[in-house]
Amino acid sequence: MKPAPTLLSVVNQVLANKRRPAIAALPPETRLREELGFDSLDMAELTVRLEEAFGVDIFAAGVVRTAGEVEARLPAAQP
Amino acid sequence: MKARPADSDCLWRDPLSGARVTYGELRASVGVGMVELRPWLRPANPGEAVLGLLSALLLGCELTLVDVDFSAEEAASVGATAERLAEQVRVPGRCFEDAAAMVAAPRRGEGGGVSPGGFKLTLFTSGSTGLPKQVTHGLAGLSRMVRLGERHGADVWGMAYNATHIAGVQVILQAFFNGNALVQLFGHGSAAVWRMIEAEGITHLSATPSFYRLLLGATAGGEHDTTLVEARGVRAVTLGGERCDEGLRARLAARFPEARIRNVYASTEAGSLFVAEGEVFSVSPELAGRVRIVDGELQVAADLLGDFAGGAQSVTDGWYRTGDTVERVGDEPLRWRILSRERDWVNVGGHKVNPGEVEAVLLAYPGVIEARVYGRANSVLGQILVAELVASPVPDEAELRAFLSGRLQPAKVPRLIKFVGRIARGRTGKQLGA
Repeated sequence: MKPAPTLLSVVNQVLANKRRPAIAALPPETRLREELGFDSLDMAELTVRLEEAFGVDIFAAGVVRTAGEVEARLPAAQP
Repeated sequence: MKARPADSDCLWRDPLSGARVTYGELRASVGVGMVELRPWLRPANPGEAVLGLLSALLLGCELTLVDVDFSAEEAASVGATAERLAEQVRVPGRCFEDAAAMVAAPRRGEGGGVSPGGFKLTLFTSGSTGLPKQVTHGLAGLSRMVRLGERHGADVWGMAYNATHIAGVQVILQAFFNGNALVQLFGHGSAAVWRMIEAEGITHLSATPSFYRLLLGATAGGEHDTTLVEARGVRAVTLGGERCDEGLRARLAARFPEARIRNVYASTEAGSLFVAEGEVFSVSPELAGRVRIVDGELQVAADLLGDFAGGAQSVTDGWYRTGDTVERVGDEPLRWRILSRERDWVNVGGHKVNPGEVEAVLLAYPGVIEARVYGRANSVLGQILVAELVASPVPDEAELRAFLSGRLQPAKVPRLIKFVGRIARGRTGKQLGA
């Protein structure tokens, strides 16, 4: 069985599609645009993939900038 | 010369399951005193669809055909509840002297049963967005493209469409009116289809470009395909439903060297309208003046459409806007080339993307057999591009993405790529229903 998706694994999937190296950790203060280089297409992909994995649209309640803000909108139960 | 067809002649058969229906069985089933018919039919198999359709036609009844592919939710949304599907009506039967008299009756305008000439068929569109729309056609609209004649007497049709879709209905009528046999191909694998084309003596094929791509094998050009055969018995190959590229035509010509290859322009809304040999469609004399091109969009006279529940959308001043972008090639008769079909353009953060263009690039990648590109609602960009692919072998996703990035602008590269076993065409609601 595939391991349950995490925010880190989904972010790495988006990075891989951009042909960018994976990151090992995602501290809450990480800024998605400035530090990870996500453009709006990448942000859109991230939201769709997170929605598939967690059933939550992270942008539905307004803009998110950092990994911590994303994490806060995901269901709490996930490891 | 013996009258065709004879009672013992096959009307429909599925060589894999062994199921078959003869002209005599149809004649017997409508020839009893009172016939029990289901006004709403969700056929369990294509043979049931053929019998139900032709019984309604011969007895002058109305029939609603419901696709077995519909989910319970979709079936309920079109009114096909369990009670309705179980409903039966009793109508007076009709005796025909022989099978030849039976196939000739409807086209002489002879309807029987409860409402003479009252045959009407209701089908559901598989629109590119939302739930299915209901369209009702009379015999005239459904049989507009049926060709009759002595020379068609021995045709054997490969049934390569879903029998509850308009294209399948048109193939059934073409075969029935000429007393031909229908051989079930739809739903069978490519290897079985090749065997049946040979063993069953199929002379006519009508299918979507996707069906032919699968049949020709995934490898470009088919050179590595060990099943490579020339099917010389096939005399006509018809494509419809999607845009057909010249590469596919060339590959079909190689495998069906004796066949005339034609494109048919058809839609659930209007049925079959135009034929092209090559890429250029033209208006037949009967339809002259009822087709026009306005600002690059093909429009047809609204009276060519079936009846829509709740009225047809996209009708302005008696003209139906097909949404298809075409290039005018000539006048009198009006001739055009299709640039893109009715698909909704996808708006990805302000970039208008034509899904057909992206599909064409995907189909050029080795291993990709079928591609469907559509928009998915997204809170960041409005819509995001999703691709569903049938591929064998399944390509490496990173390599495929690199290929796409080299050929398409960033907004046109699908952000989600899904490899699926089969693509249910135009059922966005179902695919996004998760």
